[in-house]
Amino acid sequence: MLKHDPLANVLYLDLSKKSFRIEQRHDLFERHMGGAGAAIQLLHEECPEGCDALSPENPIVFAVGPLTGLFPLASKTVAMFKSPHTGNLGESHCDGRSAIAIRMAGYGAIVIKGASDIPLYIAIHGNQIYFRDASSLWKMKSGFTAGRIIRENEPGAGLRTIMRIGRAGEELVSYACVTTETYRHFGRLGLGAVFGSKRLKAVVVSGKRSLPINDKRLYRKVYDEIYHAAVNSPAMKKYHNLGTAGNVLSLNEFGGLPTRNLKQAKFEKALEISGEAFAKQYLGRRLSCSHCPVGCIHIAALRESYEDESYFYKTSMISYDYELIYALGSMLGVSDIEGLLKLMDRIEVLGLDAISTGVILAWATEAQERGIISKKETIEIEFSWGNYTAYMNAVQLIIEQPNEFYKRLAKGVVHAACVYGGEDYALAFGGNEMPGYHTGPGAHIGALIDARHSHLDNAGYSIDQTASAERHFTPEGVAEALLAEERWRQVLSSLVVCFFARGVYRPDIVLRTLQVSDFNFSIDDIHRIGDEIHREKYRFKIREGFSLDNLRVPKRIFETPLPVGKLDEEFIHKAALYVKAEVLKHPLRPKVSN
Amino acid sequence: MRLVVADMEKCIGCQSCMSACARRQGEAGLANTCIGVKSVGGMARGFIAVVCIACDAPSCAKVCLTNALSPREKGGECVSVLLTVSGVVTVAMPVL
Repeated sequence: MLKHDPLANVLYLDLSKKSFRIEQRHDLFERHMGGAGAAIQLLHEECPEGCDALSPENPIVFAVGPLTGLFPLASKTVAMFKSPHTGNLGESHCDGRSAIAIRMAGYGAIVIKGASDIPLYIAIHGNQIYFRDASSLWKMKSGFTAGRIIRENEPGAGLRTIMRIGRAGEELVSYACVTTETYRHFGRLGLGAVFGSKRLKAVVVSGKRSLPINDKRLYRKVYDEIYHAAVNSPAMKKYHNLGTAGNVLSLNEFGGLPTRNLKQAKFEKALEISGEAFAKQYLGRRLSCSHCPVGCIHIAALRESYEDESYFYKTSMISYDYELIYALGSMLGVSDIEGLLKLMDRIEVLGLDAISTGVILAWATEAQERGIISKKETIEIEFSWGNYTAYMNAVQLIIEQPNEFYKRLAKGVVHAACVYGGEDYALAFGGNEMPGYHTGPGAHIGALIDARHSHLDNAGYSIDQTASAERHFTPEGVAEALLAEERWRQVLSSLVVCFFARGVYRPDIVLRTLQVSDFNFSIDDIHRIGDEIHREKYRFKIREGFSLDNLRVPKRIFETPLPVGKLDEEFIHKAALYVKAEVLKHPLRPKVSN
Repeated sequence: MRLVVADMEKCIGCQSCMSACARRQGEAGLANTCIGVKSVGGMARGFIAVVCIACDAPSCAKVCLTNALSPREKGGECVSVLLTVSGVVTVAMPVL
């Protein structure tokens, strides 16, 4: 990397002492590039083995990459931490303005440790660091309002990120998210609760600087190539036009859209909550992340009248996408599009992970249907498919946690099912609630073996939908395809390239972008680095107790027919054995001393 | 030619223009970009672009005590350097 690249700067913040220091870590970025690669190393260095995820010892690591600020679509920030939701590796990616703000402030990574005695937020404006009292923001009903106050109070408009938590994070709901730029999230796995445990309401970062490059002509040439590929590719047009919500109808037709707690994989009312229906009736604005010309973020404009005053209206701007439509729509049997938007908005205001919340409420609905919980536990709420008002009330109680039942719901579906039963239909993998794909073996095995137990890193749903060769439907074939994808995605997430641009950032393009910053890798090098990062994540997971030998599999996934392939416990067992042999093929590296 | 802000309602806030402006000056990063795109008080309500529109009678040139700024003859572009009190050249107005 270039000698004066500010990427090498790691900002260490201590919330207990209200102090900070900056270290130059060329070693970290030269070897692991940045993003996920740098973050997992920092997590190994900073997170004590077996620590409580909600204790001051648990670090929060944010990392960006060498392409951030230089090339389009390298706009993700990778967060790593120990997850309070699973008790294991916590990893979450978010975009908005977060990555470019961190890069423009002059850092490659930020590490936050300790815990504050009072609520505070951190403001990082270049090399000026402030610990601000956030007492008046704590317990504020709406996360939007807290964001607005910070916005008024801090400089750097247009060049800053405001990462903040809502009530869910403050109340340590284990799947609370961190929201940036109103609509983007560090979702899944509970980064919001880690913020809350540190009494950290928000992190604001801003900056404006030039970045060093070693070849202006090459820079412009590669830039233009990527930019034109990005704006002209059919995949990007799809994300721009309907966004990920465009997948609702295709997945439903395929028979892979989890519906009513996966009792079905087709929703008879999918048309009513499709991307097309949202766009036609409610699409009010598209947004983009910094330095991304795609504009995949879709915002609905919901106009509501005040009941007690005639001709008085409010218009709420609500972000929607496929995962929300799945988790809060089909999974809960909600087909009333306006009701669905209201539920999305409530969850946004409170700062909950939408997927986990939807899956937990789906379990609760079936549990009440089967009589294993009653109105005594739910405090008079009667869950029924499609009843979005009941779900909105329940979401509020998950935050308030007035009884044991809601305290359990605030810790996730596995936790609740362990106490009340219904484990066979508690849909979580590795402790993380399932993503919206019942497409085949790839989707479910993918979530089981994915380092963050989601659909994000190995895209099993895609393997299911595109597999033509028979081998993809053997345990070993599925496992190998998933591992290959997950290893390559470690490269992309170390360069913090949005996975939507994976078709643009092919290996040869990746090498040329890196040359501009004087990273001179070969194709073999970057594949090796991807493999290493994957194994480093597994090293952390195994250290913290994860095992491929005792995977918890909810039986429901075997009961509801899959559109492609066959799946049973034996198939999963064989796939897990294959993954285990692959991951442990080389001894996992000992801890690297600093 | 002067930059026309045609319809800010169509702006998605990607800030690609800010990066393009910097590249035009041979830069990477945003230090010297002459376009500023920011939200209208939050992403929900859209964006504004702060940019030199190369107006015909630029007020900035009129009030410049040191004549560091002057209107261009052709196309109304305002191109010059701005001298700070300390005399350090800090920024060029955009060539649009």
